[in-house]
Amino acid sequence: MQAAEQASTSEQLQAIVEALGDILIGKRPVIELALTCLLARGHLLIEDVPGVGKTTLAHALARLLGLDYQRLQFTSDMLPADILGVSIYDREDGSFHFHKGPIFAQLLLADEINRATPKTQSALLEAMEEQQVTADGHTWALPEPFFVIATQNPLYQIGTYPLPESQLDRFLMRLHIGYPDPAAERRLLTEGDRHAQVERLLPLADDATLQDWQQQVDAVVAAPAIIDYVQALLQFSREAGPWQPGLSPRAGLGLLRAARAWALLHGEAHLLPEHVQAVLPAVVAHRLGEIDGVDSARTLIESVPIP
Amino acid sequence: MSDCALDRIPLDRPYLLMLTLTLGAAGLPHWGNIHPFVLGLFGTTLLWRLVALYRPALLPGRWLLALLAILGLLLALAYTSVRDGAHVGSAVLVAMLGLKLLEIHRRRDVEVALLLGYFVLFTQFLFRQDLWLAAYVLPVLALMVALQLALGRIRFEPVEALRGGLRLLLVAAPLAVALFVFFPRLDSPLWSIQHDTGQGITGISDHLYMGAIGELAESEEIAFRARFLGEAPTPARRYWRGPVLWRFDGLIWSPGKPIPGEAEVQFDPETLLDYELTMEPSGQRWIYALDVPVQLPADLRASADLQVRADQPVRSRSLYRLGSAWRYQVMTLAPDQRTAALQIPPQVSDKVRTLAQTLRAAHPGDDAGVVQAVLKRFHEQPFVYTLSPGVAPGDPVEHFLFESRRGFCEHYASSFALLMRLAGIPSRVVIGYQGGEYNPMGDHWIVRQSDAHAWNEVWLPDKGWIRVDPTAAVAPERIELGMENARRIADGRMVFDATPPSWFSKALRQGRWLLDAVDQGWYRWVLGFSAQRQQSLWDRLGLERLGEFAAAAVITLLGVIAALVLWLVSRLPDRADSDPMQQIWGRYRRRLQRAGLELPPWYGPRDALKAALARWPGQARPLRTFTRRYIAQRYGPGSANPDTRALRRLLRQIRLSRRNRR
Repeated sequence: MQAAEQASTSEQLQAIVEALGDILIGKRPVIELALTCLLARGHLLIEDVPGVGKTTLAHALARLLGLDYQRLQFTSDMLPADILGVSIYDREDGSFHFHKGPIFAQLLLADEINRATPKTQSALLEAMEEQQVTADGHTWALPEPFFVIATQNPLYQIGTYPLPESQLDRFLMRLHIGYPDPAAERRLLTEGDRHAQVERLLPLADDATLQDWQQQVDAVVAAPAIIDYVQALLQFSREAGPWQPGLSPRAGLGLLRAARAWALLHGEAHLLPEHVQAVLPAVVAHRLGEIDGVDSARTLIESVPIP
Repeated sequence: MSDCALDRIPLDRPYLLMLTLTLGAAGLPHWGNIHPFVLGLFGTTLLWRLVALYRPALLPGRWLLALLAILGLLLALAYTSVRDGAHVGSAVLVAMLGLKLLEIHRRRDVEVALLLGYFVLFTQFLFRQDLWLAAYVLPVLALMVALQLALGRIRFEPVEALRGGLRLLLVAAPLAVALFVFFPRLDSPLWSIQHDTGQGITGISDHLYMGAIGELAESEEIAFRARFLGEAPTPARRYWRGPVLWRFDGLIWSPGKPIPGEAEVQFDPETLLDYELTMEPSGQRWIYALDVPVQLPADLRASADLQVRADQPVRSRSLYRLGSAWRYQVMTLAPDQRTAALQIPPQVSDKVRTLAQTLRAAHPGDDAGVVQAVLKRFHEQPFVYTLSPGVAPGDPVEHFLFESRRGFCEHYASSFALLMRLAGIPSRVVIGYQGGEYNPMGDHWIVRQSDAHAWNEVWLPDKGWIRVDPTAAVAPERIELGMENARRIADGRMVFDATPPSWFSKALRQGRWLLDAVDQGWYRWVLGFSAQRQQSLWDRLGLERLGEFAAAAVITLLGVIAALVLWLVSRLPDRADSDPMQQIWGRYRRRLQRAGLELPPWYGPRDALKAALARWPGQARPLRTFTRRYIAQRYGPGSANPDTRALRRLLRQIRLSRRNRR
């Protein structure tokens, strides 16, 4: 890959990060990881209390990347058809027509995914995995790129259906946004609502550019030493860690892809152990879970020497 | 491990449970060595720990722990005599081990507890060294090693940990054996500084009164074991010689004034028997050599009357190698010996005196004839060999010879010696053991307290000192069959029969023999491996031909070679290290470490650069250049064909000084 091309990609991506930083103040690491997740073609789960900017982040991302955006609030009475779409009988030509549901968007914000029943959840997750929707014997491909940002409220779990571990694995990353720091919060209070600001955002890319970037991610070099390192991390999580089970091969692939995207975002043509370590907490924490309050990701990083 | 993330990972309950139980097991054999109060504190802390596994809130705070520690120390000091270092030390160790268990917050604390546990475990050998303790200690040790291994893992898997522990012990075993055999021994083991175990030992004393031996007749306790290196002597020749008694006051025989000098023994070398004696602690100095001892080890002496003595009372089990001959002649009879051998108590009953004079008159000038006459009298008159001779009113000898005619060996020996002396024949009483039970499993003879015996020696002009056993005239089976075939019947009489035992008692005997053989084997091969035996082993290996300095040189050389091989093996690159780029990374890390910057192993090259720049800002250029090139060669496009030489050169250009520390 040409270094110049890379540098320009990185510059463009950093511009997006900057623009997002104006919206979600003081949350640069979260923004970078969210963008990384998207570049790595992964779906994102944001777990946080309401009102910290989950929706704003998703909406702003969609605007800046020129993606068409759908927001879907999950409720307990929601059915799979409410997401995927429904076939309706057309009296005029006497046949069924499929009306595409909100999932046919490039960026879908699935708000409070844990409020829906498992049946509805798995309909969404299956579509996410397969990049297509099947109804009435027909298959409709989802748009390219296709990216789901799901949010989950960790508190007030009464009447919710928390995602089981097997489904958590479908999300490449899980992020917490967290409250803004005092300075950022003061700025937010002074400048007022971000909603209008998001509406005014101009796209800095389009879906073609995004797909090009995603291809560049695949081209980031992972030397054998890095492959060894990632493999050692996976093996440690299975054999020596307290986790049951350890990381799946899918998690390993996701980790490597996320690290590549992170490297691209930072203008690097090859992977370093630091890149893996930077994305590792977001990629593995929801897969391993917490044991006795110990940070699983930190433990994993500090237990495996760099080969 | 303190800085490592692992140390922060809490230990799970099964681990702590196993730890508590194992350390409890490690302290358990100290039962009896340390005061019940200290042991009670230990037990309480263990229970507390177990309860706290389920109710962590019950764990004591810092101040309560400090108080308890002081209490433990005071208890240990108050209830053990300070003079006795081993007892005080063990008590303190045990008390602190229990308290440390209450103070386990992190993995590091477990290391401390286990270390204390090892000490507690090994201090037990200061008090006992038997096989059973060793057999108990080994599995506990394996458990402790397993627990220590498991400390390095996040998840506790008992079976895997135990397998690891056993493997480690197994690997260490050859080294332990080599050290056992070759590490120079002290002449006395470290723990022989120990306290008197001689209390409450039953056994022969050097005073013989009527009934003294009878008291031992039913004691199954072992006096000593003997192992003949050649053929074993016949029962009638198995007289194990102990104290020799010269002085009789009418009631009690005692050694009397020691007579200086040495006995001149002539013996038939054909009848020489080579054997090993393993004495049980007796608290006395006699070594029960077979009649008569002719070859002694350096630390034993034979007196003029052929008593064999050690320099010190036998306080722990000890092994001696001796030679005795059963066809011998001892002519020595110095004037003081003659006087002592003819001493007569101030009060002798007329009846006894008359009997002696009558016998003397019947065999004028024929001492052997007098001896035979007395033995004949014992044999023909209704004398009975019994454990309960009844109480003697008045003169015990007269009562025995003329009225009760019931007695145990001491009655016969005592009366016989007095009669001899009254008849003018020098005589003395010998106490010791007679017989012994053969243990076919250990190929040795067990001599018990019940085999205690008393017999006589008389001096005949042409033959010198000869052994006469008057008991044999009354109950020859005592000698032929031995005490293990004796049975006491209703009136206290002893009867002997060698009828084959029932299968049950046979099995019982077999079991006893097995235990005895194991016990003796443990002693012979492990505890009894003394400096002398080590020396003789070295001699057999041919080290003695080299001389001391040459031997030392050879051993040193071997040690150096072994160390060298170990060092080389440790330097051998393993699979991962054989990657030249990895070697360079390792070298870089070591250089930083030597200069005082220890990098965590999970630091990548960028993090490492950041840390190094903070430390040595002046070296920014070479550090950056190296890092850039390293990254390019290791992770970048150059990784297929790295130029390690250039990297090594760059590495050499980095100048790190310890003084640059900010």
